[in-house]
Amino acid sequence: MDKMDRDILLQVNGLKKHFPIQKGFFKRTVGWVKAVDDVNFFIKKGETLGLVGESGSGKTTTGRSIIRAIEPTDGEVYFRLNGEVVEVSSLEKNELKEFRKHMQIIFQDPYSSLNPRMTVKEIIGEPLLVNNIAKGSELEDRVAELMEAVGLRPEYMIRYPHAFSGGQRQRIGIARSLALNPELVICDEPVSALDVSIQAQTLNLLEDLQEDLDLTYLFISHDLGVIEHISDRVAVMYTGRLVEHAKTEELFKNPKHPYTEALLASMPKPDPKYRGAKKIVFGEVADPANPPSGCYFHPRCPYAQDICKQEYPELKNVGTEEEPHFVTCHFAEKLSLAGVE
Amino acid sequence: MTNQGENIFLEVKNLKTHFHLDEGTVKAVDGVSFKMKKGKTFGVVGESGCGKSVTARSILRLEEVTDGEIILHRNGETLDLAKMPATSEELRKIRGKEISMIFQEPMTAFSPVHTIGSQIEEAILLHQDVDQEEARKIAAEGLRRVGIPKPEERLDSYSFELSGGMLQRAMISMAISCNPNLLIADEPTTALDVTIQAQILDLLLQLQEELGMAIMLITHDMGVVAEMADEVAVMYLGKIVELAPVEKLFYDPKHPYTRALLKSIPKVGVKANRLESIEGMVPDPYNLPKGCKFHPRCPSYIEGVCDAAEPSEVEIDSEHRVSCFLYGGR
Repeated sequence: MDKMDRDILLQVNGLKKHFPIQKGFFKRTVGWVKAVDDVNFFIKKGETLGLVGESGSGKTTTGRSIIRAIEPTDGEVYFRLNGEVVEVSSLEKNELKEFRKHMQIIFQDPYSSLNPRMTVKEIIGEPLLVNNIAKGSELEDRVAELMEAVGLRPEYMIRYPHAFSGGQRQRIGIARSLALNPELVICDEPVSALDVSIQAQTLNLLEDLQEDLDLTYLFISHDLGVIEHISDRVAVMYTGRLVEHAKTEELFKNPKHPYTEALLASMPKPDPKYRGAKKIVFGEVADPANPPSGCYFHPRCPYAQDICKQEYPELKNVGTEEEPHFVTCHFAEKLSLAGVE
Repeated sequence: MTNQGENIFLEVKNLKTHFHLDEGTVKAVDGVSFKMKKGKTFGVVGESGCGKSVTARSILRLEEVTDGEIILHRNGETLDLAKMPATSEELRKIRGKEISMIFQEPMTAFSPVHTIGSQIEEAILLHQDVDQEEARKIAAEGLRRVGIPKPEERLDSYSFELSGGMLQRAMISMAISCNPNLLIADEPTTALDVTIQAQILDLLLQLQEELGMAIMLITHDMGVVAEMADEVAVMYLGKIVELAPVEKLFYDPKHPYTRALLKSIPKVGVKANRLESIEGMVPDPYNLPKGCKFHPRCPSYIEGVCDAAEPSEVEIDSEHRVSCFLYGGR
């Protein structure tokens, strides 16, 4: 992958994470949960890729496999650092530790992701300390700077997390993830636990930081409204597979996969004029330990035909070379699906 | 509100539920009044801690009510639930029969050590004059009505054997097993995925049409309210700040909080560069601001007015009321 486009920061090829299902005293492996199965995408420098899907679709596992917080089963992850392409997936342990500075993560739950026994200064300063970047008064200055950047008052650095509200805690988590000046930040449902008014503040903050610090985001969420607002491009996952990937506007206006259409139709819209216009998809999300034959969405798909039960469709580009629109559906070109205006 | 009394099923007047704790008094619900009409959906929206769940739980007297009236209209007579002892026989007959409730987390609302069937049958045996065998039949029929496949088999399942969506269906089936006049749904779809949420909301609308029950829908999701509710109350720190029919609330909101709330949600199909967020955060319940509780965050704050006294309710028209000094209310 030496020929990775110059403006691409992260390229993920054939990423897989299969968890064994073990049973009995000897923990025999009786099957596999294919949490992430053959996922391909790229993120350009400075943009936001939204990763959307329902619970169990493998969004979080994808994020964690990229940064190797969990070891992927297979696949390659390439990262462009100072003009050179690094294969993250083949780094040795000590190299990886060094490399992780460039990729950080913001977690969903601001209550459980901060250690209650550490002060805010210790929490935000920890990455600086363990990487021998700053200590003493220098550390304190840097923590104060980070707190200001996320809109917290530096005087509060001696307090413990319990003294802060959910929104403020999420700001602490954001400050921690920015401590090492990363290039890529994986935001794993960063606003899902927050109230709407605080959610808007946090989204605005993330956008401001992106502009000021030239950050690239992989933004994981189940909320299509949030995804549409923040993303430049969107990838949709279903049962461990990527089913569609296109520019945000294109994907919302002109979805090519029936699952994307179903998601868009299912989401409640804050406007009474859409009442009763809803199309319901029946059935439940497929089980990644025991996915259906053929296309995983076929048991719920209103357009399914015989071939959908037999063959998993190939990923194809139905857009142009410059504006690719990737989709895995046998009938992507034939169906005319409804998006949102 | 034309034909007064005719359509009204439940009337809440100046309801107050306060919690006295070591740290101080939390006025979780502080003087809330509204009426619920038969066969209609009454939506209650607000952020966490605004008192929407406590309001609902107070109606069923699951919380100790401090003050106010909860008037149930039944065949021309009226009953004040707030006056009844919480453990009275009369109240127990109303709970689960005339008014029933479904909860946010179907996973924890069911007992994991009893079968789904035994839990639904319990409710039926308690309120209807039937034997065990008939109760089981009614329970199975109930599960079929909410779209659960193979209902007879599912009766013998435990809660952990069903998915979240199926459990929420089972809970709805239990709640409607005695044909209630009012179903209180406290964040019924918050724990569910979008496609499943759409199925459950659709099911609720369908059942409402069949059974003619009123639904009190509590949610933080403006999208869910827009799709489901006929009338909406917006709550902030224990008070209803605005109450209006759904179209008026979404197209002509009056209270600055309602307006701000509507602007702060990302809308699908409208790509705004920046969200308009509400400044600050919900204040500490032990240390509430003086005057209007929203004034420290309000863009239309009037010094010397909003921080001096609490606004009273102003009627914009017969079905739209708001508590804000911008519309009078002194």
